[in-house]
Amino acid sequence: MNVIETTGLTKTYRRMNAVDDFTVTINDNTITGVIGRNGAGKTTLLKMLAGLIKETSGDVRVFHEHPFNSLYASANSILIDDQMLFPEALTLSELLAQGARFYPGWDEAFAQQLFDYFSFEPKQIHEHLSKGKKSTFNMIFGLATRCALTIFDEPTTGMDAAVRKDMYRVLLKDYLAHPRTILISSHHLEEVEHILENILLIDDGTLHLHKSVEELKEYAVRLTGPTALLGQWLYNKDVLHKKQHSSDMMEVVVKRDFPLEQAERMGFHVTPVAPSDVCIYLTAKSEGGIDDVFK
Amino acid sequence: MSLNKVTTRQIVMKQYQYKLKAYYQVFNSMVILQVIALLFSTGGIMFRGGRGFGLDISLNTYTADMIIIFTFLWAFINAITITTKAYREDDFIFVTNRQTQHLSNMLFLITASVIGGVTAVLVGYLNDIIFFFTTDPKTFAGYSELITPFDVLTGVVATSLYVLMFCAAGYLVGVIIQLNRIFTVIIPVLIIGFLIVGGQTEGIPVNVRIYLFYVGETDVLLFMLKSLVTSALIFAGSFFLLRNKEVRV
Repeated sequence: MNVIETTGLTKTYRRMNAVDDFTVTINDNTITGVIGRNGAGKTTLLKMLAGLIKETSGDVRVFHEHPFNSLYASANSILIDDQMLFPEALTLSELLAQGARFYPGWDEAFAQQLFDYFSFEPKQIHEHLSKGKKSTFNMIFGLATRCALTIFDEPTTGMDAAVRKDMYRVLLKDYLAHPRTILISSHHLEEVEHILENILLIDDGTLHLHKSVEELKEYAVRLTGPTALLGQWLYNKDVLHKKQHSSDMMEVVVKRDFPLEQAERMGFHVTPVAPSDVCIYLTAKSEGGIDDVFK
Repeated sequence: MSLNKVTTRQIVMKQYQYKLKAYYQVFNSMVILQVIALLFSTGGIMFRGGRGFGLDISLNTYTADMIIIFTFLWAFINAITITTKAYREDDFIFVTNRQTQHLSNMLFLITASVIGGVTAVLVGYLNDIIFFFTTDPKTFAGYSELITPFDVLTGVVATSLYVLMFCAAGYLVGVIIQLNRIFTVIIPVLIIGFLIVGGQTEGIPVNVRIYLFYVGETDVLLFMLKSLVTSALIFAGSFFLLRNKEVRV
C-alpha cells in the first residue's frame, strides 16, 4: 500500500518555492531518510505530509486522504520536531497520559520504560527541559504513538552522542517489532544511514533522487589516477566531484554507469563512495569546495 | 501497520476533557478577578453627596455590577488567550483537525461561561452579605426586592449567556489577530471609533441600539434566543476565518 503519494506538490513562501513540483510515492513499512542541505525544503515537505501546513499547488495524499484537516490522517500520523509546543500546564507524565487517550495505538509500557531509562521525572514540565532532553522526550512520545506514519524532523537536535546512539537503536528495534512507515530527516546521513532502507534526496525543493541505501552505495565510485590520463578518460562520464591531489594526481567521483573493469584496466585506483558523500556531491552548489573560497 | 479510525465526536470529547485539565489557569484568573471586583464593590460603587438646609446627605449604591463587568472582561480575554499560537498548536501534538479543535474550544468556552456566570452571581450575593454585616442597617435607604430561587436561576442563566457572548466576541477578536498581527492595532481603533461615531448619528445611536437589543430584552426566553444565536453566529464566523490556518510555521 502507498502511504504517501504526492504529485507536483509545491509550497510557495513569498514567491520562493520551498517545495517545488515534488512527486514521490512511499510504501508502507519502510524507513526513509529525507536528506538535504539546510533550506532544501525538508521541513516544509514533512509539515505538508503531517497536515500542519497547506500546499500551494499540486496534490498530497496520506493514507489516500488529504492530510490538511483530515482526522483520519491525524490519528494515524505524527510529526516530531523541536518546535513541538506541549501545554505548560501538564507535567511530563500527564502528557504521556494524554497521548494514551488520543492515540489509539499508544504503547504505555514502552513509553514508561523509555521514560525511566532516560531518567525523566514525572513531575517535570516540558518547557523547563534542556534542548536535548526535550528532543529525547519528543522522540519517545512519537514512537509511543505507534502511528502508522511517524515522521521525525531532525529528531536528535541537542542530544549528546550517547543518547543519540541510544535513540537510533530504540527506533530501529521498535520498527522491527512494530513495522510502520517512518520518515527521518537529517543532514547527517552517516549518522542514520545504518537504519535507513531508502533515501529521499531533496535539493532546492525538488526531488533529486529516491533510491534504496543499497542502490546509493553502488551509485558512484571514486577513481584516483594520473591527471592527464584520468582527465581524458572522463570524457562523457558523469562527474560528481573532482579534486586535485597534486599537480599530476587527481581524484574524481563519477556516476557508476560503466563496467568497473574499464577503469581498473586503465590503472586507476577504484574505491567505493559512502552514500552520505554521494548526497553531498549531488547537492554541491558549485564546482570545488570551501577551499576554493580561500584561493 | 494498523490504521485506526476515529470519529469527530470522539475526538471533540477527548479534546474537551483535555482542555478542562490543561487550561485550568483560566479559572485561577477568574477567581482573582472576582475577588478584586468584590473588594472594589464592598465600599459601594456609586457615591453621591449633598449638603443644604442643615442636612448632610451621602448616598452609596451597592451593586454587584463590578463583579459582573470583571467577569465579562475575564471572558473576553480568556477567549482571546485560547486562540493564541501556544494553545492552538497544543492540539496538533495530539489527534485533531481544525474542525474538532474549534468545536472543543467552543465547548470549553461554554463551560467557562457557565462557571463564570454562576460564580459571578454568587459572588454578587456574597457582596450583599458582606455589606449587610458591615453596615449599620439603620442607614439603609432600601434594598432590592427579595430574592427567590427563580431569580437566582434567571440571574445565573442570563449572566452565563452574557459571559458566553463576551467569550464568543473575544474568540472572534483572537482569531482575527491570528490572521494578521496588524489587527491588534486596528481592532481597538475600530471599537473606540465606533463608540464615538455611533454616538453622533441621528436618532438612537447604534451602540445604544445594540445595548437595548440585549439588555432591554425583558422576556427571558427571547433573550436566551438572541444571545445564543449571536454567540453561534460569531463562533461560526471564527471557524470560517480559521479553517485554513497553518500551524508550526
